[in-house]
Amino acid sequence: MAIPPVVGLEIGTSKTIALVGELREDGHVMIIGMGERESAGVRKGEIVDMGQTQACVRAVLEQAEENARVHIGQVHLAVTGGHIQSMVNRGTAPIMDREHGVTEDDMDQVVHVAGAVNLAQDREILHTICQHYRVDGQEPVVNPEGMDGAWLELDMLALHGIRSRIRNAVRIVESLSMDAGEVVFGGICAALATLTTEQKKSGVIVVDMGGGTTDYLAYADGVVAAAGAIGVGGDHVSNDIALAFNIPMARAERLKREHGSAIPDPAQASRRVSLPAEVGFPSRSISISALQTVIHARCDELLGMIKARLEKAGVPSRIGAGIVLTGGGSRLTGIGTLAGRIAGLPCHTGRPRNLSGLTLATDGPEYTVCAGLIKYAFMCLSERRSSDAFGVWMDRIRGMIKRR
Amino acid sequence: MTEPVLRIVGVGGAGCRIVDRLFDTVVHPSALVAIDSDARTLDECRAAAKIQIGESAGCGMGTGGDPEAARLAALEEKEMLRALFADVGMVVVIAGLGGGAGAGAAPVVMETAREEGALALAMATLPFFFEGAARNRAARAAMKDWARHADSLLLAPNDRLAEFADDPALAGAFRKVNGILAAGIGGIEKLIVEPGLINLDFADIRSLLNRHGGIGVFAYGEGQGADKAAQALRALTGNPLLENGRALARAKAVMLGIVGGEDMTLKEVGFLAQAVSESVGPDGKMLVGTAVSSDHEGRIALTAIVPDPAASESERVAAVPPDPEPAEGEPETNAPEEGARLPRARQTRLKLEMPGKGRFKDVEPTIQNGQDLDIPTYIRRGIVIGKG
Repeated sequence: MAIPPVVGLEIGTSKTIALVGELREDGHVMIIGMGERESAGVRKGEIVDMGQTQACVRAVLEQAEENARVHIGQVHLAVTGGHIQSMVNRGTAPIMDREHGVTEDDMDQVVHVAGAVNLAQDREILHTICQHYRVDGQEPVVNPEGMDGAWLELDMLALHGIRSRIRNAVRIVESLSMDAGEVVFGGICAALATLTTEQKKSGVIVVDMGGGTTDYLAYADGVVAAAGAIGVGGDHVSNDIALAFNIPMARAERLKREHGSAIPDPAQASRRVSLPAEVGFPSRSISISALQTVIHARCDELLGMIKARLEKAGVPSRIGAGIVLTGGGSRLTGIGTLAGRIAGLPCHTGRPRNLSGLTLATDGPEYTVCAGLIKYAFMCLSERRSSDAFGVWMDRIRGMIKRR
Repeated sequence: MTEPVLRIVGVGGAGCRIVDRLFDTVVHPSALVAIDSDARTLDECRAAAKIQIGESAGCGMGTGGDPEAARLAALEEKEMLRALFADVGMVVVIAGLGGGAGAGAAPVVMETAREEGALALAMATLPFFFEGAARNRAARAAMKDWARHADSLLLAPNDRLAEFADDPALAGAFRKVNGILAAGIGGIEKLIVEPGLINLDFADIRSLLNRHGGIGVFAYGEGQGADKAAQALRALTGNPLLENGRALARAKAVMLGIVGGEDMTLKEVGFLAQAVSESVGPDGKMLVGTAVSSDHEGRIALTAIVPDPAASESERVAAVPPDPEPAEGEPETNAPEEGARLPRARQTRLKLEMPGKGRFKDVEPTIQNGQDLDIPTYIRRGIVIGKG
């Protein structure tokens, strides 16, 4: 086996997950080990307590090492947080050789120009994704090689975030004497894990609802049209419930799982759920319709916000393959129906595709990002080895945070 | 009354120059405070209290346009500010956005004012277009910060003012612009301080602005002689800050302050109120206040405050939820006396801290479109949840 196993780590708001994956001869990815633990020191996808997070990451990685029986030397990282944004940057370069049309050199040059995005000082580029080329301002094309013209233009989607927050995750991995490999935006991981080529071609929106953040990424006209993150997730839903009924967070979390729904269910409207007494809290009952109203308000706002952002980014409203929801938040009853209703598109839940191995890791929407991260890491590896189909794909999504 | 109920604080070069102009027009010059890092600016300003910030660090030479340096310098003087704002009902903060002191020190001043239980009304001038993109960008960033710290924010873009101050000389243009602002601020001060026949107070300004986004513009017009009312009206509606009346036509609400001498007639007041209410859109709301001042004999001065929904929408990062509409027809329980104002201000402040954030209370808020997303949606949408 030429390619060693890779490790993907997601320091999420509610859970920290590490998966160990192996690439089989036939290109299939097999999950051979995992570590998982409730996160500590993370709020809204961002690390707020380095010490606590470090201890948690250490435990998760040890568990994964033991589980997969490998020694972990390098870890790839998925990052998210409300600070991550995208913008489209257009680059222009002259076509040097007028006789042969656009050459590879011209394309390299324009990629370089379009990738030089002007950012605020505290931000850095996470990824640059080629959207499409134009020759002399004509219709967009995916591959302009050999075309005739004077100027080559390229639209590049740049994902950027606040440097210090991205670096925090890297620092934690390095403090455990491990190498940080690729640093990848969670939305890209989710798209890689769940989407098929046909879905990408006909247009699709993937929404990864995590504990503290919701990442989204939209394909339209065959390219990544927009991506970003909002610092609102499942934690907010639970927090809203806790505040509305004055109950502790853990109880709110349980209520959400057992009786929550993003769409108020008229059949349950008059029902009440009773909470047994706990230390310091007397027993009481809560109206299901009130509970679901609180959840609905939050989900409606969040999904509406994503819709508004996509509209602002110029993503067309006609998206052939609809919405794919994933992440732990997609387990909430009714969230898919609500998302479909708000966007006016079909919506279904996405799980990691083309994975085998541990059933737990390949089945749950919580593991989507980590699974996608492993796929991403293998793509980077194979790109370095050969320029096959993976390589072409990698050309389009570049991770900018270099390994040291 | 010897002790002023409000303080007018000029921060930075622009703010201090306006305060200096105000010395001539305000009712209580003892209310004027100047804050800057440059010793020379302070020397030239006739404020009652002067605070030089960053004395140790900047050697009295200014902050070099660095907001962070200005902020830290202002924090050093916080105790001094506290003492100045104790038992004051309202603090008006005037500064130019775009420079260091305006962006960095002014928010500290507002914050301190609110900590002391006073309401903070901010008045900001936006840089001239020709001052460059960097300064304009800095001003926009500072404006967001201001909107968060002030109870209400009034804007005066220098570009609009310059159309009015048709002075070819640069120094003259700046001087005239400052004069217009000083006149407007003086008008607002008079309305609040002078015993009015129809009274308006800062709470009125605040609730008017906050109901429409928290950011507004203000304008001033004056008339003399026999047709002083008509003259003042023309000066007001022709004021560039109101975009020659277009801002009025757009506005959903307007607050009009009329200050005149003992000779001001009921007919004049009626005419002005009627005319302004006609120029406001058909379903616009209007608040009128009048005050009589002995030094306005033979003159009428108009001050209009108009909420600017467009500016609010794009710029305001509201940590402050709008005041609930007062119930229609309910008589105001607080008599509009100076003594009654202070406790009311304190009470309002408490209300602002009410929205719960639970586990997100210690982390940086997620703000979008002026809403703090960490506060439960049902609270922000005003959905009533039965607690049972």
